[in-house]
Amino acid sequence: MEESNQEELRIDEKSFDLVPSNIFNIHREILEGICDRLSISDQLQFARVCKSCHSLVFERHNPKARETLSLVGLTEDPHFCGKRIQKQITCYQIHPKSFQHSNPCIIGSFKGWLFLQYHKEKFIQLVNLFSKIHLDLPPLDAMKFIPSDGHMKFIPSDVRMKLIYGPTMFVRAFAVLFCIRMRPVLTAIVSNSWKLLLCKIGGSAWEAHETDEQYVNVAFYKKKLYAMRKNYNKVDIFEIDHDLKRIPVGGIEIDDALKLFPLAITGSSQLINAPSSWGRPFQAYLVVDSQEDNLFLVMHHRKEVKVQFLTVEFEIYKVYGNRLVKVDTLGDQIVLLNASCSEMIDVKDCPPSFYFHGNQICFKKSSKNLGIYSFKDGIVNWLPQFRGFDCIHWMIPRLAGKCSCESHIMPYP
Amino acid sequence: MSSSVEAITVLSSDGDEFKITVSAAKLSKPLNWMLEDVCFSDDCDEVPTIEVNSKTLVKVIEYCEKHAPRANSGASDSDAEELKKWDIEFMKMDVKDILFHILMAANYLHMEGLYDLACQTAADLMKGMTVSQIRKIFHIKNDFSSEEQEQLRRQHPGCSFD
Repeated sequence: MEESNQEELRIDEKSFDLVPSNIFNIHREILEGICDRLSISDQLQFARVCKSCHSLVFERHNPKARETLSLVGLTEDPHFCGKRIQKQITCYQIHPKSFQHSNPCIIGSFKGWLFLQYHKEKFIQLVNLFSKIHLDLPPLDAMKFIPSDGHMKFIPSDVRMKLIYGPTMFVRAFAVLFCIRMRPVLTAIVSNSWKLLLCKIGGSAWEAHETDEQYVNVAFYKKKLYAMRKNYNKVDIFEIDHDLKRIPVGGIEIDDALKLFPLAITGSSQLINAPSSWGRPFQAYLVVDSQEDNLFLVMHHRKEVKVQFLTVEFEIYKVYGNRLVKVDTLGDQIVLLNASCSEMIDVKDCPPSFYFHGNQICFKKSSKNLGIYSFKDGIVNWLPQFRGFDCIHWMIPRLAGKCSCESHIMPYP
Repeated sequence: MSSSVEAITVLSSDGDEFKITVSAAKLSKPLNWMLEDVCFSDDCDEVPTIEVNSKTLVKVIEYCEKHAPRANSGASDSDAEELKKWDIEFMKMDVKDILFHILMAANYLHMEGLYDLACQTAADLMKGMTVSQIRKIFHIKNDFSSEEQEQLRRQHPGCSFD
């Protein structure tokens, strides 16, 4: 249909009688606020109106989009490709051939970017599907890795299969530092051997941490790198210099585990088993809130039944300096808990939806089992299984801005 | 400020006077600071001027008076739900034609709730509009060259998932 005909059908122009004669006389901050509340497709339309609109969409600080909390994953079935609403959840199902190399594996999602590892060619990429940007990261060097039984349990099943047939090194967890326009600047990963590696976007190699310390997950918070030790007894805090050297600047001791994590040791009920090959019957994740004002530690307590871990409950601790204080509510925040990288979003930034109301944790028990935990009643709402949908991760869609700022040369914005 | 004062008078940019309760005025950060700094009383002749026109100020005060009880004392879930419905009607029925003035007033008066509401309403009005519709409604001239337009069409033919 012609655009002019559409106009006649839909627009009540009297509604806009008192629109300022030049909307660009309105403070840019207000126009950016409106942009943040448009969906991605509406933002892309707006960007094509004029150069000032284009600048508003792609050159604003911390760009957001009014998009529904979604699932992203791979599907081989062309009938399921694209954006679909399944079981009241928005799903982005992508055919592996849509990516630049073969055998992609989605390691995780963070702020609208996917962290991809291509197992055949060993490439690593950060991809923003909505802005159609592919950023290449150096491949991880091939390394002989024969996982013990204990190690194999930590590896997600979808990665495990590929591990047997393909690569010898993979990414276990990652964190991305963005510039003010949401362009990646620096990335940190935890490798399959629990090593901490860093790389600037555009860099040619991964810089390894000098010590033998092993980590499970990482997060950037207030320009510092927070890394959770594998034995969960401490979060190390680093500043990163221009040569990607890690300068320790503190830590959060978690050695008083009995006091801090009583459920993990004694169990909230008699059903909790003593840990088997795992150090503890829980996993802990570092998560930064949507305003990047606070860092949280999310504890996922589990009980073991045969070979599976079933969710028991979650606890959240807020980081104050080097202390952890338990919080009872997340307010309007929702944690998207992915094994490799987690984030928090504010439900007020999303359109109303059936499942998401705030004060919740969206998590994945296995490659197919997804749950939404509510702090309000402590109940997990398990989602029906999504068939033919692999490497599933929780995601909030976002565009990436255009940026030629110094952040892409210097490590920090 | 005298604790006995329940309402103050404010002056619009058009020179009209309006009464606003103290609890409602507190929703605006600048008015709240003024209330803390200035001694308002029955015999006080100081009337703060607000750089907002009368038509807009009437709506801003209406919003403040409606939201003040909840802001000052909290509210149950059902109250919050009722307030949400009122917000939708407030934006839909009354203020569409002065939406951008409300937006600027909310920004100027540092009223987070009204600012969020007005921004979302403005965004909702633009939802699904074509490029030419946006240009027409907002009186925007296309300043892209034909080459730039073609390049944009190639880069962003629309959201690839829609």
